[in-house]
Amino acid sequence: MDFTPTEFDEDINVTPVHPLVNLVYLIGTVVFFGLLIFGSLGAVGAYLATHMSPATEAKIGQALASSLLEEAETEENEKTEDTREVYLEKLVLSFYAKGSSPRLPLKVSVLEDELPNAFILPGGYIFVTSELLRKSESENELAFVLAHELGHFEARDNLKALGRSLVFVTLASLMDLGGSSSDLLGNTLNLSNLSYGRNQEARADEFALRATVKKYGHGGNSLDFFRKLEQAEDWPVPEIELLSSHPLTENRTASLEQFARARGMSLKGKSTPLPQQIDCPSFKPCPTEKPSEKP
Amino acid sequence: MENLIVFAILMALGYGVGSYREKKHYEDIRRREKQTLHVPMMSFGAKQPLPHAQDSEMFVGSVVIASDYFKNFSASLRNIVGGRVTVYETLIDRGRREAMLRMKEQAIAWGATEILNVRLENASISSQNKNNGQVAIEIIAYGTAVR
Repeated sequence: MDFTPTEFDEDINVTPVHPLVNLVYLIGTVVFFGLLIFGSLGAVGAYLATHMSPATEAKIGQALASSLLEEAETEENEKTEDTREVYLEKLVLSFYAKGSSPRLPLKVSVLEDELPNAFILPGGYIFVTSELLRKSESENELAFVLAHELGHFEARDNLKALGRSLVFVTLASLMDLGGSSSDLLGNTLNLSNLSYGRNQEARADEFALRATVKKYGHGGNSLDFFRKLEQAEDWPVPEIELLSSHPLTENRTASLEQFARARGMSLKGKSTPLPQQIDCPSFKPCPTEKPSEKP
Repeated sequence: MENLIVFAILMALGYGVGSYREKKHYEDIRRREKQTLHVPMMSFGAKQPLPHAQDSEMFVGSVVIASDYFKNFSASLRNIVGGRVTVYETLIDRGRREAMLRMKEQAIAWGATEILNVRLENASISSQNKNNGQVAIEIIAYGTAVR
């Protein structure tokens, strides 16, 4: 058998696809399915936020709030409960009509912080900073801030703000029943990313105004805190969402005043005073300085 | 943003230089394959009696080829969705033919009339850093030349 060399020029081992066409196809596929998953996570998150059972919400809230709760329970108020929290909880519950109650037991904690701030986490954990109590001049003013947070709670904004991460947070808290990962969960999720949209803020404002007017019979002094925020331009923006995480727009008070006028609510009235020494734990006189360690 | 610019530069560099060199390499391979076509290569010979010959000697041709940034990126996307990694096909094809040619050209210089028991092997030379994703592969072709 003689060998007759034959040439063949086709490359059977190489698929005839232009590399750029291949790349465009690949990027297209990955982006398409990426967006699909991203979008469906958002939809599932939104569904969960509105349909979540209170039990699940409580579990999530516990995991999210654990690190902040620990912070609030350090130092001297560790042993004795701060009676201010009892007072604040009573104030919050007074917004509910007799016989009705919030979907979850609400818990108010006081955080030592230099910024006037209040925020609510999923699960009904309301945090109020000591500076907010110090800055408040009337109960009406403080009640409005609390009612604003309650507005977020009732509208489930605190759950909606978690957005897509709510899906993962829910899965994590359902799989691990309050175990070791709850701390991790609270720490990894960046709480400072939680923010509400302008519309949600406006709804919460209106809820708060309605609630305070219903409670006190008038809206007098209710908007004091916002007015203070407007005047003090150089107040630093709190790290975690609150009243001024979106820069407080000037027309926020104005639109609330208009809202009140349209519904015939009076924004004038006698203010209810705050309990004495609200800026100190348990209403007791503040320890001015650390007691000097005399021998 | 800077990352994106660096990425675009690397992609353009990988694609531009990579495809230019690939084109040149294929031209070279085709030319040399025609030149060496007259010497037959066979894969049998391991357990069969070899044809009668005066001399025999083993020749080894080896080549190390590295991927480029463009190919790596395309392949990493392909790893997500699955399917044929067409960008690596040309890479391996070039390597295989180049290794074969190196072996054959050596054998022809020695005076081979045919090359028997031809085998191909490869070994991957991956960088220490697993996350780097740089791929280099060595392809070895060896066979017994007789004259």
